[in-house]
This record gives sequence, structure tokens and C-alpha cells, in this order.
Amino acid sequence: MLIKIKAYGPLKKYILKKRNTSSNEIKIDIDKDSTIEDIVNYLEIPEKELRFTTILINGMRFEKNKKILEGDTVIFLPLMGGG
Amino acid sequence: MDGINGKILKIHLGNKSYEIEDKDENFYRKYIGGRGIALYYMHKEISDNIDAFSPKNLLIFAAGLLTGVPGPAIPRYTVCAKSPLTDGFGESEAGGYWGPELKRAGFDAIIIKGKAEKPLYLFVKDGKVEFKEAKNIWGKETGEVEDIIKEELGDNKIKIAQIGPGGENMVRYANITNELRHYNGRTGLGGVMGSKNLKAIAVRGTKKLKLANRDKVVEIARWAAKEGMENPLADLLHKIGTPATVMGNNEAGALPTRNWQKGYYEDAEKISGETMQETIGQSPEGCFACPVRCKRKVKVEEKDIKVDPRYGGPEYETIAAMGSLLEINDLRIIAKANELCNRYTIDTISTGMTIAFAMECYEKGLLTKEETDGLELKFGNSKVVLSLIKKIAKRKGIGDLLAEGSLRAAKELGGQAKRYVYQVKGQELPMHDPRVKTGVGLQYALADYGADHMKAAHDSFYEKDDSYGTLTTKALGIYSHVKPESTSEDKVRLFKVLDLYWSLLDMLGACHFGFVPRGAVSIEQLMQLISASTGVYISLYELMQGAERATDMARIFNIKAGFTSQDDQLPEIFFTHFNNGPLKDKGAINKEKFKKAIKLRYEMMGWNESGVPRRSKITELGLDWINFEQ
Repeated sequence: MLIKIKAYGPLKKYILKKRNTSSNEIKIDIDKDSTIEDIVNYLEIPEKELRFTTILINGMRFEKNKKILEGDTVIFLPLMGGG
Repeated sequence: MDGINGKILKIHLGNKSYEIEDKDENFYRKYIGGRGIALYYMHKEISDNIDAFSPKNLLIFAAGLLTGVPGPAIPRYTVCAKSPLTDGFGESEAGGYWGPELKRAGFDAIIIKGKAEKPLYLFVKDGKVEFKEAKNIWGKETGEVEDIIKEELGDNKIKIAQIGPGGENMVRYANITNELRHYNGRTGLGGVMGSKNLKAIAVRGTKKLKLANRDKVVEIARWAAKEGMENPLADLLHKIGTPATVMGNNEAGALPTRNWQKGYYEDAEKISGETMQETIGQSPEGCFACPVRCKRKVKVEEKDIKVDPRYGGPEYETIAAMGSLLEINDLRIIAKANELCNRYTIDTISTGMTIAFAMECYEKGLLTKEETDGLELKFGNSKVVLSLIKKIAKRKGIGDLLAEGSLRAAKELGGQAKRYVYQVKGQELPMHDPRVKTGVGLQYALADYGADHMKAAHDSFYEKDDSYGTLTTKALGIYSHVKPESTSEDKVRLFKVLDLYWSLLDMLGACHFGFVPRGAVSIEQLMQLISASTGVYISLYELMQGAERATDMARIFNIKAGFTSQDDQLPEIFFTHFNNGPLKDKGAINKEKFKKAIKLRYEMMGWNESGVPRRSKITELGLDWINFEQ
């Protein structure tokens, strides 16, 4: 099934490693029942980087084992606050 | 004790005289710096119920305990006064170079008393003070003033804190600019400066601050410049700065849009931090001895619009307050709005929020074209924004009403207008929606100087057990995560501690962006910096108690000014769901749970059910000397 991945700030580099693109957004075909954790593994985001990361599905926070549905957008955001 | 001067400068503007008060080690251990020192003098010398613009108000410029120490990210200092915006305790920090220069000039704080008969500015150099006539600079914009004072004093190295026309005209949210780019931005302290006929304070020191162990300070500074800058938080702050938050908040459905009517802005990408850096952005700038260099600088040179880079560039707050909040999708206009606010010294958050309020009133027919000097105050109408900023700063036409701030303006307009004001204690909300981070909401409601986004770390730093915040602040007794949208008892405990820790950083002169959990430098390194600077061992317990002492002093100041627990509230809108975006029909904070959380926080603080510090707590903190009847 097709889903969208978006990444911001320093997390964009993990998308760039997967695709030759200048965009921070890609579409990928994944197996049914894939979870957030599977996407993290696909992008090869190291555990250390995850400490600084908020992950959203369609704008909302979920646990790592949350299943992704067709057409969902998984968003990787760097920790932010203040300013 | 090293790292400080032990000297407080008291200025009497009325008769152009000054005195110097010596303070001992115990004073600094007890009140630390910044708001601690300011509140000490405010309780001693401000009588109850004075008007913020009265000569009886004090205006206090106070460095932190570490300000000026050449360690990483400790450039900040605090200005305090009774606030003309909240009518309670007013406080605002600024980075840059002014605070460190004040320390080098031989003082830890300046207490301004009274009112000058005619406009003047102060020149403080190496322990001495000159009162200089300001006739030729009164009425002028900040850039020009900066040039004239530097030329007049014949020294390019002086650092200047000053007000523009917005401060002179006592806009209730006027601010103070330092070297044109660093702001004591909130609570209207620039208006207090204007009410005192004080245009600027120029400082210059030629002596080095005496440190107990300079080598250790340098060692930590070197670590921060190398290893510290490899931290993703520092790296992103350097490359994109706070504007990186635009897309994050929008993706989460919580970017304040159209005066909080919406949480998702379709044009967010046009005003994002990334877009700004790629289009009008220049190399970032920084503050004294800080390796992060997060301050934006922008330049626009087009036929119809020019933005001067010497006034810096918009932070996230400004981009949202002048952009999505007004539905303006043109970064050039936002950058120009930022520049104008900085020329006139008015706070960009309160300015954007008050304009947004006026736009919604116009939309709802509560303000007519006749009342707005013929301006069409429609959301998205970028032309009127720049005109309104000038009118506000000069208190001309509709600007005179808006210069009062959104709450006072709504009261003046009457009827339904109050529904479109989003404030706590009279201060307009910053650009973070508490529905997606309730800890920020608790801090908005409880902040002693009105709604503010820098009263604690934000919830997302603690969303998992292995989040950076949870991992790095164990020394504060934080061992596990709390979900951002939760209003549980755990959330109350977490934010009680974060509140005190954040206040402590302010009182030390430390920037939140340098230290954990928002930056790279650890609590252990912070403690090492304190002992290396002062040469004495001050424990984290003592420091946190110092932060609590200042918090209770601010609380008592507000209670004496007439505040009650009724003022510890969030605007109603946050107890309703979002109207659009990914969180449409979701997100409302449970009002009853939120109220309970506030009551629990009172209890944890040793305050009674009405939020009044109990006599036992006052005694514990050694504040019996404050004249306060319960």
C-alpha cells in the first residue's frame, strides 16, 4: 500500500539517503500492517536521533507499534519548543 | 565571591544622582540574579497599587549570576518593573552583549528610580555614571539613536539598551532593544522606560570579570563549541533557528492561524523557516560567547520593499504572529513588520496579536472602516499591517486604541469584542497552542508575568522515556515521560520542576537554548560553571530553592497588586476542539482536569487553595521580611 513520508530539519537527510530527491517528502509502497517502527527501520534513523524526534501520523502522535493505513502521512519532526 | 561585582547601582532620575550599594555573598546565594535581585528591590521599594507609568515605579536591569562569564550561552540579563500591560510583576530577558558589558562596567544591576524632568540617557562606564541630555535623540528610531550615541561618546564598543518611539509613547507592550537586535520583548518594559523620560542606557567596561577558575570556564566553552554543536538541537538552531518551528507546529495542526480560529495554515510553507533561510536569510548572528548563533538576519532589497538587516530577522514567534495569525503569506511583509517593530520598539507578539484581534473585530462588524481610519482590517491584507504598526507606535488614530493591548482595547469596544482576545493576566498569548502541549498551557495560566512560552521546556521534550529531555534532566528528579496532551498529576509534577529550573536559568543569565533539555550543555557542566566562576560551592538544592523564592516573591507581588486565582486561567478556546487541519474536531483540553491541575500545582508549591503562599512556605524561604498580610 502507498503511504507518504515527510521529514523536517536534520531528519530530512534520511529521506535523501533513500531517494535522489531535493524534496522532504516521498511516497513509498509498504506492506500491510506495517508500523511506525517499520518506517523508522526503513529510513535507518539511529536510536540516538530518535531522542530528538517527534513522529506523527496525519498530524497525531502514536506509539511505535501503531499500524499505518493506506494513504497515511508519517511525519518526522525535530524536537522544537520556545522561540 | 568571584564572577560578580557585589555592587548595585541606584539611579535617581529626578535629581540626576546615583548611589552604589554593596552586597555580600549571602545576598547572591539567596537572590541569585535577574528576577531574584529585581523582586528584592521591588518588594522593598514599590508601594502597593501604584500605576506602572508612575514615577514611583522602579525599572530594574539585573544581570544573572553568571552573565558575562565567557562560558557557553550565558549572555542574558533581565529587566523588571511593574508591568503596564498586566498591572502586575513584569519581566523580560534579553541576550546579546549588554548584560555582559554591564558586569564589566562594574555593576550587577541598575535600579532606576523616579522620572527625569527632561529626556536623558545614561552612560555607565567603569563604575561611574553620566547623565546625558537626550533632546536630540528623543523621537528618533532605534538605528539612528544607536549611531548618534556611539558617535557622541566616541566609542564603538559601548553597548546600548534603548527605546524607540513606541516606548516614548508608552505603548503598553513597548519593549527595549539591545544593540538593535536583542529584546527584552515582553510585558511593556519599554513603556516604563518611556514614562521615566529615559531614552537609553549605554554601558562600557574595560575590566575583565574576575573568575575563580577561568581555565575551567574556557574548557566548558570549548566543549560546547565542538561537541555541543554536534547536538541536533544546537545544529538546527544555528541553521534555521526558531523559525524551524513553523512547519512542525503546522504539521501538528497547531500553528495559530486567523486569530486562533484555525490551527492549520495552508500557506505555511511560504513562511517557513526553511523558505526564509533560502530566500531572504543571511548568515545567522549570535550573542556573547555563545557558539549556537541562532539569531536570524534577513535582507530584502526590492523596488517596493526594503528590509534592513541591521535589525536582525524574525524569530518563530514573529513569523507566526505577523504571518499565519493574520493570514499573511509573504515573508517580505513579515520581515518588514519585524523591522518596523524593532525600529519603534514594540513587541512583535503583542503587536501581531492585537492586530489579529482588531481584524477579527472588523470581520465581525465590531470595528468599522470609520473607526479604523479607513483601513480595511481584513485577514490577509498585508498593506494595512505595516500602517497599523506605525500608528500603534505613534498612538495615531486607531493605533492609540491598539497601543493599549488587546484586552484593554476589547473593554473599550465593549460587547462581544472580549471573545476575540487571547490573553492571560492581560498579556497576549505567544504562538504555541496549549491543546497539543498542556504543560505550556499550565505555564501560560500560572506565569507570574502573563502568558509566556519561555516559562518551561515544552512537553515534547518529555514525550518518551528515551526523549532527550527525560534523559538529560534526571538531576532534577525527572525519571519518566509524560504525554504532551496529558493533564495528569505527573504533568503537574513535571512542570512544577521545569518551571523552577527555567526560572533558575533566567536568574543565572543562561539561555534556555544552550542548556539541557533545550540545548547541549548539561546540568553537571552548569554546576561546574557556577563554581568555576564564583569560587564557592553552591548546590543545586540552594539554586532551585532560590528559584522558588523568586517565584513566591513574584506571586506575592501580584497578589498585593490585586491578582487572584481567577487570573490563573486559560482562554476558553482551548477547552474546545480545533476547527480545521489534522486535529479537526479533536484536541480540546478537559476544563475540569485543567482546573484540578492548577489546584494541585498550588498545593505542590505550598500555596493555599486560592493560590496564596502559606505562611509556613514564606518562612521556609526566608521571606518573612516582606510586608504581606494573608
